[in-house]
Amino acid sequence: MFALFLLACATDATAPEVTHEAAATPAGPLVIYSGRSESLMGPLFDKLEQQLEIELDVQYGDTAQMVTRLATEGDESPADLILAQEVGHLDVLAKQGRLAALPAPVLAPVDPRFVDPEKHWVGTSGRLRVVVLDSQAVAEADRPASLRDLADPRWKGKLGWAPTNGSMQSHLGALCSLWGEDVTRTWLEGVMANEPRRYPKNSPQVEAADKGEIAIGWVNHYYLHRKADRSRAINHSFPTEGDAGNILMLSGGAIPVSAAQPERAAEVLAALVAEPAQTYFAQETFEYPVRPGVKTHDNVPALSTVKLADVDPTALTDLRCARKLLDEADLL
Amino acid sequence: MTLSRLPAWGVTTALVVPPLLGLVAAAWQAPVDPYAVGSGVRWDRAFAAAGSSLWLALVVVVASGALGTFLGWGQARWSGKAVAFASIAASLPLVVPSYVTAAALSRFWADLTGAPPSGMAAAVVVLVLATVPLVQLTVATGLRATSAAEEEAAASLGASDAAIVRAVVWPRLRPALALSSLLVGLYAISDFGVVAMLDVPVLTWRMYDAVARQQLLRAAVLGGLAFAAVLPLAALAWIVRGQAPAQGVANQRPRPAGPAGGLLTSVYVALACGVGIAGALLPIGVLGSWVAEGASRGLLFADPVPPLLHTLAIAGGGATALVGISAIPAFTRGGRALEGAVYATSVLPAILVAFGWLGAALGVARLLGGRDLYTFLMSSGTLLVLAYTARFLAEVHGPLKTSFLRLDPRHQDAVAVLGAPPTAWLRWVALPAVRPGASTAFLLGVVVLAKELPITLLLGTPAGLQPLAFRLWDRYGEALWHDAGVAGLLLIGVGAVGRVALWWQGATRLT
Repeated sequence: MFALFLLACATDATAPEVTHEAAATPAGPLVIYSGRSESLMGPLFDKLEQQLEIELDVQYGDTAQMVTRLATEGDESPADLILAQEVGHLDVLAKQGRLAALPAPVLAPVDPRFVDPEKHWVGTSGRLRVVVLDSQAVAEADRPASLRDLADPRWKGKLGWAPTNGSMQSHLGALCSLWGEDVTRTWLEGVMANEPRRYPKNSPQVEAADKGEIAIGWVNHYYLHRKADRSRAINHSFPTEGDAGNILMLSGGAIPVSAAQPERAAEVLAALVAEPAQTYFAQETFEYPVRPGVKTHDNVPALSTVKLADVDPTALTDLRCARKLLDEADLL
Repeated sequence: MTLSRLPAWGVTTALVVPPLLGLVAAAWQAPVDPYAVGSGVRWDRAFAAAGSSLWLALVVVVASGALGTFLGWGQARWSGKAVAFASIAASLPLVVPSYVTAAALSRFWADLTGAPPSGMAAAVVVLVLATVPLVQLTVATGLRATSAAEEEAAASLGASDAAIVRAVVWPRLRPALALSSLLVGLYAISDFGVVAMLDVPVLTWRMYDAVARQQLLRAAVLGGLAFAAVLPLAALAWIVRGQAPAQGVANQRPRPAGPAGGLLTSVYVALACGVGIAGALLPIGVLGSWVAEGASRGLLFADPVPPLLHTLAIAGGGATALVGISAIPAFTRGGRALEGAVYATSVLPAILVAFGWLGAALGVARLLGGRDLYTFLMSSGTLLVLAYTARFLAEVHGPLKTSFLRLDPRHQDAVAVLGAPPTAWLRWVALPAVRPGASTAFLLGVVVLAKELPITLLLGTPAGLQPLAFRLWDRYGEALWHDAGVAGLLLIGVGAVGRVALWWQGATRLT
């Protein structure tokens, strides 16, 4: 009954709220569009299926792909839940009125800094933007002091990046907020003049740095920690106070207004911010938990030791500038 | 024994038309860009991608044609155990899916030199390795159809070897070589797996990117350019196919193979074995080394059983549906027009077929049924089966049609005269006659569907299917080489089993 009410209100300007009630007999598997990879999320979804006694139909893909697919499908979309590598992509859907407001049981356990003020999405884990270095190729004295240094010609032929990756796009969006669109464009052109190697995702950059194929890759912090057999790759946060390269980003989840099983979706989302899943993110995938009281991994540096940029969180959700610059540069 | 041609045309039209309409529908849809950047067509990039596709095809055709012709010549004209062994070695790349070769050789080169290979150069090498066996076999077959009597007559009249080749051999070889070149060109333009693994900015890879981002107008334009690039080649291949010269000599016999001479034999063996090593043994070895290294480092391996089961389900179930649907046009003696229609979508890039069906499904759902219809089409695997059938109809049509041609209406009359029910004809006459062709068609379907990539990526994952091809694609992109290695080796194994079954079936049928 509530699902019908939800669908009927789909065109309402005020996003309807999903209630977090025990669902009636589920009608088919819960469909999840996951912008996070199977290697990261698969084991967690297996546990949730057993814990919640629910069948999940998880469709994996690039975050931007999933967002645009959901937007294109509109009311025909079968997705009950969407997970994004970066919440900025969820905000795109929220601005189009495609996301339902989340219930209090989902939002309450989470640090308020990691919750959408409009309650359309919730963060599920945090990741720190860093550069991964080949420690043998880059001496300590030569390490970049700022993200701006990546445009320095001395790095020509030594950089790697993943322009189709959601994290890089969100970071570019933050740069647009901090530096302005024109300065960001100039910086991007400078980096491109260094002919960075293009990788599909972040993991191959870490591999490449560890094998000496590149000297610097632009990634999220946890990929290095996941590579247990690394020999020469190290993470590097920029030592400049408040540098634009030091940004904490959020992965998150949301429920489309067109969801057929919004209550079940809310159950799954609540499970993702519950302590067991948050411990999984912290201890297995080396990310920063969003739930207070959950300890980060011993190998992961505390956020207090990083000279984080003072960036408006909403800048991490404005991807228009980032996509425009990447499109102009033919990087998408 | 014929059906009215209407069902055959109905089935064929139902497979050929929707993807093309879907392409048009996608071009007419208002672009959806939630990022508000603008998904307008970038004609400069579209034409650049088209130029890259054509350039890639041209280089592959020339290189593959030259190498394949030399190898085919040696296989047909030169004797000796070394030549025979090398000829078999050169066909080994057929066992390994080309995108698996691309993934393995790319990493091998990167580990060897410290830098990944240039995308276009690597794509040329891999596609040449994948297509040389096709040219080699075509040329060897063409040479065996030439007449020794004609060549001996020319020699007795004082013609030199070069003159004999020019005047006698070349006219007979030319159609086979032209056809194989056109097929290689089609293969290179339509390829998705190799260019995707190597990130080469050609039409098929750009199209997948655009579809994945739901930039439907851009995808439709790229699809139109791919269509325009492929159709002339397909039409030429269709024309050339029927241009074998008439036999002019009675009691024709092929020229017996003779010794090649030391240097030529050495060059032949080196090149042929090189193709076999680079195109099959080296990729298999690289995949094995990934697995061994992962095991020695104590890395956690993802369970390979679910993707293996998905692959077997896709290959077996898909091949069954493929044979069942294809039986109708195969059963009908429909003439060249129907034959042409059957081959129409098979020459299109698979990504174009998949995208066309996706666009058609979205359009139909919006017109008729809304979310439930669209969900059903995507999640039930219906779209997947339709796309597979449209793309691979031609692969199974040949053996199916051959088996149906063996049915004789007089047998049915004889059964009726003897007083037996119609089911007796079906059980004792029709099914045994059709079974060999149907099983060949089924096995061919299994071999091509097990390794299929672009349709599976676009339409398989919404149906909850993540076969070995997807596992390899996903893990390779994540640099999880050990998992990619397991998936690649299993994929090669499944294909090899299918090919062995095909060979065994052919061998037992001859005894």
